[in-house]
Amino acid sequence: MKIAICSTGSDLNSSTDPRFGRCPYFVLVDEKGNHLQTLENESQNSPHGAGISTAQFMINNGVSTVLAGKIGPKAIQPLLSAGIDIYTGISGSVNQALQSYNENKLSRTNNANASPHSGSGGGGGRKRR
Amino acid sequence: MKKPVITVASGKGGTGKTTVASCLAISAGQPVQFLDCDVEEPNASIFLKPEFTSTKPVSLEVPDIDYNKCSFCGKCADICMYNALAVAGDQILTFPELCHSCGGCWVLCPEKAITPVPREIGIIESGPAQKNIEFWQGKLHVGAPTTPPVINAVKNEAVKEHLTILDAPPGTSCPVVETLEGTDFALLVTEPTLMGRNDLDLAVQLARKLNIPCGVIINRSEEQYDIIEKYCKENSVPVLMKIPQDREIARVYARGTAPVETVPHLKEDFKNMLEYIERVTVFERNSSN
Repeated sequence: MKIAICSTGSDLNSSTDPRFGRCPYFVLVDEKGNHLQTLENESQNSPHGAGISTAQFMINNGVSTVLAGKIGPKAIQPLLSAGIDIYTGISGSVNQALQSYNENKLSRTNNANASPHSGSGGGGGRKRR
Repeated sequence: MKKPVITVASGKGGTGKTTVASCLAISAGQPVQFLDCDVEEPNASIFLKPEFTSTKPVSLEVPDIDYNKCSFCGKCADICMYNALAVAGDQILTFPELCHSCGGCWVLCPEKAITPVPREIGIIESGPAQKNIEFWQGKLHVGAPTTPPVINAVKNEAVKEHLTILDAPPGTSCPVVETLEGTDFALLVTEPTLMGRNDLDLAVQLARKLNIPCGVIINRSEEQYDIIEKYCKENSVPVLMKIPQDREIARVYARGTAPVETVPHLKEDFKNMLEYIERVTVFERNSSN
């Protein structure tokens, strides 16, 4: 079992990142909480569909559970289709997020709790493509 | 003599493209085809008040998966730079709203399991406006990813025997390039501000890169601010017209009327400018042949 935690850094003491699609790292642990590896999110700066591509990244790496702060409506679809469990509401360090997960304090979800594009930087004006 | 195709563009938004394009169409004194190419926010109809008599859909091809053939190899999701496909469990999820219709997935699919199917992304509408104006506009559906196909569809409908005026979107990115491409003259509308000058410079550079002759209209012009005149002189760009900062023009505009309808001399100025543009484009055409 591989649990992926959205993180701002590469180890268990790093702060979690509230975003899914645009978080810089995923800290991967097994069900006992042992650090397996850290994946750098290749899609964090993707101009389009970062959530979808990050979800694909989770699937391709054999992740079975994702612990996130928030997750968007597009990202959640591939994760659910692939049978990945999604828990939201993490905060603090990666270790603290794991602890909350083990104590059943996180809520498992089948619904997005972030609006589209909320993980990308703001910036007003008409977007020109 | 072939009539010119003129694009009214700006770089900076809110400088008066649509006002200028509408005024030019009304002042032309000849049959005009007017194409509103600002397909995200078409608004020239406010001034020209067309009566739309025809509507056509604009579609983009997006992938459709044949599960009898798909081997879930994931090549389609791999190559999609817009992340419009994902391979998840026993499904290929498609996100047509992200698809730019590049065709990569259906060309590269080793099982030939992907076929392109049309998805409507916008419409084009047309009909007669006042006097001799044949009006066209494109409207991109909310949430659709790309404007160029809709702009292209509007341009393809143009019968290029009359004087043609294109109202471009603001900026200097893809939609503006799509609008400008293949047209004879870029009429660049700006205002005497630093941002007006900065964005005018980008628009001038773009027109030059596309080999389209250009000229400048200074809108909300005031004598004491000569920042644009200086720029134009330094960069050898002709200033074709100045529309003064004027309460009457603003008042008429705010009521949805093109200022040439009521403000004296303005129509004459536009007509003179059009004659200049016609001469320039004829000259350019002859010298390039």
